[in-house]
Amino acid sequence: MSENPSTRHPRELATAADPAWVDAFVVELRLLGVPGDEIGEHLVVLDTHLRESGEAVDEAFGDPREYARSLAPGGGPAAAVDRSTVAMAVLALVGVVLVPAALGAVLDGTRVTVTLGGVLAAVLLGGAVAGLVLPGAPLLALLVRRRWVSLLLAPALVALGAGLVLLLPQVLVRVPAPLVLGAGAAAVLAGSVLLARAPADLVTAPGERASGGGGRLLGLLVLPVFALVACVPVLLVRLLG
Amino acid sequence: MTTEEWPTEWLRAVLGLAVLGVLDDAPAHGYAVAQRLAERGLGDVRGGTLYPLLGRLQDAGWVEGEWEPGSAGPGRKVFRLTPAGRRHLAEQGERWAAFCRTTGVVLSPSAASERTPR
Repeated sequence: MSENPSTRHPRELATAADPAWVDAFVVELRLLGVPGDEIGEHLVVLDTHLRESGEAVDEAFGDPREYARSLAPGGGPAAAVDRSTVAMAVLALVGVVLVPAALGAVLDGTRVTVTLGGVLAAVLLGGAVAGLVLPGAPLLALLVRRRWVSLLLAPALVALGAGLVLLLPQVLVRVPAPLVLGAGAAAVLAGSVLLARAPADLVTAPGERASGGGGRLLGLLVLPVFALVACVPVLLVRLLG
Repeated sequence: MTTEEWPTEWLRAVLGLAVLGVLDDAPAHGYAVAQRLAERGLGDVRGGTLYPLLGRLQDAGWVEGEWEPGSAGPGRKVFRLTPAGRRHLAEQGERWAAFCRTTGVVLSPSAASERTPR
């Protein structure tokens, strides 16, 4: 068993249970907003029970999702997403959209053109993010429980967003590119700080304390890396064009 | 002791008090609670029923759980009755016994009428 909770898989806390059962149980508890330390306690209790009784996990505990719901019938304390998570998601979205758009305009020596289709596509993207972070994470729950939806939803969103941008090119406003680049970079920076400061909420065994040192560094880097990756097509178009 | 399977509805009604009853004897971890219930004739209570119930009893303040250190690992969670749980068990246990006597009379009216002077 790995000693460090930041690198250990929750399955390692319940090795007497079927790994697929444990995965479904942990995902359902996460969706219900149960904190990581409580999930760890449930896993250790389950593991002890299975070792002592010699029963199979589905025989003793039934369906993993139903069992998870019976442990947290009203949802856990983390079911309501805090303002910091919503702010982080919004800043990340704004930063990752604005930085590549502004970079292209800076390289071309033009202003950033805000079109009707662009605004509607941003609203669409914002709706998808809201479905992932709002209380109960309705979109996330749908994607986890119905895997096939994710196969259809991602291309459908991309197609709809691209369609809006292409079909509704009416210009609403033109903004100086350095201003947009600065705003995008500030949003990426602020989102990174919020992400790095967010508690790790790892699945820990009872009495174990989680340390999130590596997680904080990753939190600081993830949004700038996303923004850089989003800039790659902008640079490629100008280099190859 | 009987190993008869009782109807689920009956067990659902009495299981909370029965768990408090077995914890009144001595603190126990979850599987030991299930074993004591089985030994006393309530049949097999699955983990999927027992632990959510123990959680509700903890939320009500009638039971408290404490982690007992293990030799190599987090150990086991031991459940014990709180003073409030003991009071609840005494009150509700008495009412349940009265309910059983009343039910007995209702289900065997002839025996009751023999006992009741006209």
